Amino acid sequence: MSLATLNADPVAVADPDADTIVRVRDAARAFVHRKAALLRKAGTFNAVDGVSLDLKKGETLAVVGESGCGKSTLGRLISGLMRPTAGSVFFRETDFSSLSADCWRESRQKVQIIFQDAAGSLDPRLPVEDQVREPLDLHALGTETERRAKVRAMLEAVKLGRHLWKAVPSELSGGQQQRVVIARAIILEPELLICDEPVSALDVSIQAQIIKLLIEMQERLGLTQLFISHDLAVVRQIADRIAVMYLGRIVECGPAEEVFSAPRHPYTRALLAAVPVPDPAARRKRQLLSGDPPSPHAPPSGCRFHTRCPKAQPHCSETPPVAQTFGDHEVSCHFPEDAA
Amino acid sequence: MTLTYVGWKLLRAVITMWLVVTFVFFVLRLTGDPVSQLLPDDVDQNTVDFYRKLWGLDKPILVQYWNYFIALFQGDFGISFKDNQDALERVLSRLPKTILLGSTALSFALIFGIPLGIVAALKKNTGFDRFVMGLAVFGFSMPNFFLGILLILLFSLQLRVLPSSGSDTWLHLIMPVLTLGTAFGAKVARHTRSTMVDVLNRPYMRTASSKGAGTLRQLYLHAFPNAAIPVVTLIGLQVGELIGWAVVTENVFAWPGIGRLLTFSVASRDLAVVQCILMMIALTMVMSNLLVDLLYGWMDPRVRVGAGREAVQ
Amino acid sequence: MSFVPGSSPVQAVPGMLVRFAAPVRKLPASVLISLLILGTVAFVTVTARLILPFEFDQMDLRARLAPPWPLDGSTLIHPLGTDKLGRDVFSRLLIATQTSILLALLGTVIGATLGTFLGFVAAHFGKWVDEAISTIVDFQAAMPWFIIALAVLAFMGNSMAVFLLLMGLYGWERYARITRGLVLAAREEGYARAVHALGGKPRTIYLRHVLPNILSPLIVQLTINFPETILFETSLSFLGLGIRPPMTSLGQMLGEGRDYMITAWWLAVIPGTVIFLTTLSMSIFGDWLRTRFDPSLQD
Repeated sequence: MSLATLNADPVAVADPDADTIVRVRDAARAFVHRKAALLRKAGTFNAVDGVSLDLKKGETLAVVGESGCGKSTLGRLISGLMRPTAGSVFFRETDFSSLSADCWRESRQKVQIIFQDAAGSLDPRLPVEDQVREPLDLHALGTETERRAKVRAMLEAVKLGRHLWKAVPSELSGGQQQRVVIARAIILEPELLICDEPVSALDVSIQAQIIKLLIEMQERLGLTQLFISHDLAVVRQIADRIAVMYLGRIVECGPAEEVFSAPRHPYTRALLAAVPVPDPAARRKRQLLSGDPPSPHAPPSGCRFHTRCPKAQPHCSETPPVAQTFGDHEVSCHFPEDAA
Repeated sequence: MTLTYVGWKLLRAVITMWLVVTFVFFVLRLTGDPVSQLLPDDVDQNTVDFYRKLWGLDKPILVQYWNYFIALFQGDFGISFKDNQDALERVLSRLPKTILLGSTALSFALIFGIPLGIVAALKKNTGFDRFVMGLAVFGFSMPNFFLGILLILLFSLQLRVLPSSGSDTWLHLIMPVLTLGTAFGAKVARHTRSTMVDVLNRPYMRTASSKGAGTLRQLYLHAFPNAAIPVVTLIGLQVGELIGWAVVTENVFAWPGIGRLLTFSVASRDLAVVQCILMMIALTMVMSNLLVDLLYGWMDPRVRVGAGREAVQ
Repeated sequence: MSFVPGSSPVQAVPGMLVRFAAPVRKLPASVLISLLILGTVAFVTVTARLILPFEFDQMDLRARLAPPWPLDGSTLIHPLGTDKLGRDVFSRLLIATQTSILLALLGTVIGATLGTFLGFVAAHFGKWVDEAISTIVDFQAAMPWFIIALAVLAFMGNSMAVFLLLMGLYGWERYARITRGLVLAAREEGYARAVHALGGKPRTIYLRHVLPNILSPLIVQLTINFPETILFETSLSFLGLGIRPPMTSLGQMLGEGRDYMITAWWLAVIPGTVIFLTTLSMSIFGDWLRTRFDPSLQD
């Protein structure tokens, strides 16, 4: 299987000696799925269950997986919107789990997050121009003239037509709304931008435009990006590194090229096999997943993937796998694939 | 409807009553010597001393509170200024008249309001509907004391066919009932109409109407009861307003019921009677609210009572 | 309230201003007339003391109980007649209207502000604060405020301060309930969360984003509450509590006029008609507002 045909524009490659700006160590986040009753404690489960990763300055790390694997929760943990129930999340020297309300608000200038539902995150009443300006007002940055200039610059950068600047969100298309959201998120020039399925709700043709915009913004501002998506085709265009999540754990993490061309985890292989390739002649080894995805409330023992893994051995259901490293490439599997 | 739901509502009712009693207790003490306020000026010293001892005004406040409670429980609200009559006795003697007025007015409101509302819903957006709804807006915008005065002017003073005060014959009842019942009847009509419109729009009704009139009849028998329940709850929620209107109406027509007694006593600061009536009204309100809550709970345990009350507002 | 499925109550009026600025021509006749009446009332409320032909307490015992024009025995000097003390009815009516409307406005504003504020507080702090406030709201809703007002006026005597307090507290619980529900819903809206993620303080989020979006149901409640407040004051004044001589209000005039129904019916009918027209206009206008703001709220 050759995925050498990458259509993406050249992506800024992270400098391996640059500083690590995000450090996640064994982070876990529990949720209640069954409310506490008179004689029963609340039933919890870990949406994110022991994740460790680093984000280097300037790189784009994509987190992929099926719905329910915990990638959105991970995004929120890294952005600081949620606190981990175990483990730690560090942004530079700041421990996100122990910030005061004021410090947390200040940290918003460094870390921003955009979501899938652009229209939902915009106030339906206010003109988009005012909403892009709002972060500057919230943090009292610059004079009146400076703020207006910045808003103008930002709206031009995201290529939103001038005639739309005073419109309300409902008058914009999905793609335009997302541009506004992006403008609003990066007007503070954050260091880290987390994108949680930003294009999943858009038409494919618009998707490409937005991805291109994000890449452009990243280059201009030196942004570090965490890109969450279930769509590998989209991820291919933007990622430097890829982390694959399954049921709250990272099963594989490595440089995008490597993961795409030589995936080492059976799950990754199956995911990639499902991505349509525009070449009818290409014959691919189909790695079908068997069985249904288990419920995150009761994850399987040992390696969580063993119930659907085509290569599962008895050992897999007993012990959780340890991460094995192949250069830059990490895999959590008892029997990782060889480099294809 | 679970036991906890009922239990919780009962508890709420009890707490409300307790709060009212406490409120009255403290207000009485704040504004002066409660004994002299609750007894007429010319009562003999023995009675004054009796009550002083009974309520233990020299004892600590908590003991006083307790004694007050006990006295209330035994039906002892103090003595009315008028003829040194026991306050509770006096209030109870006027109760039948108010009940007569209230129930007649309520019946009037329902007898006219519900059918009008139903027909208006059936003939939605026709001239009839608009006329009835317009009438309804007139009905509940009209201040009831004004309506009463207009009625007196017309029927008592101009046409001289109806008596304007007192309560001896059934003729005396007509104008007060009209005064008290019109506003409520208007609300009932509006509410019934909107409920019926809702019910008529339900999918099973529309398929039925396409099947033919025969089935339609059957479903009307279904639709009516569905529309009736919300009306009943409307009554429950409007009880408080109704009581207020009744007070004013009785005043306009010198109807010898509790409402008139209340205004009279308020004016003459006969606090024993005021206190008694207040408790009685509180009890009525609490019970009717409880019934409404239970009715909602029985109708649909999933319905949050708060939402239901808002819907009627 | 029954909502259109799929539309959130908070977004009941996106572009409310757009709809609001519809051409006047489109207004039904009843609404136009109502606005006219309300406009006149508002005008009177503001200018009453400036346009008085007579002082409202100026007595002229030779011209007692003169009927209004154009009945027999009337004069144009007193176009609406005179009362038992020869005071000009028209002048008294102006002042009485001013008093009643101002009191109702004051009461409504106090009630709305208090209720909305407490609703926000309950929704924002949640837990026991919410429980406490909701309990008070329930109790307030459980008792007829009119009766409580009567009782309080009996216990505390008929002072203006007490009366104002009672008027202010009339109906606050309805605003509290509505606000609390709407704020709870609005907080979950994406844009409220987004502004929070951008670093906005709760106060900013509430004032800038939540409040404007929940205004329409609150305004509707205002239009329902205002006529009720008018009736509250006029009823009490009619009964001889509330506003008493030497001051006058519409209810007070009506109460006074009641004693003269045989000889001078206009003394009661004129102020009564003013009350009626005002509450009627407000109801019609309120109904119309409701249908414009959110058609799904229609009866």
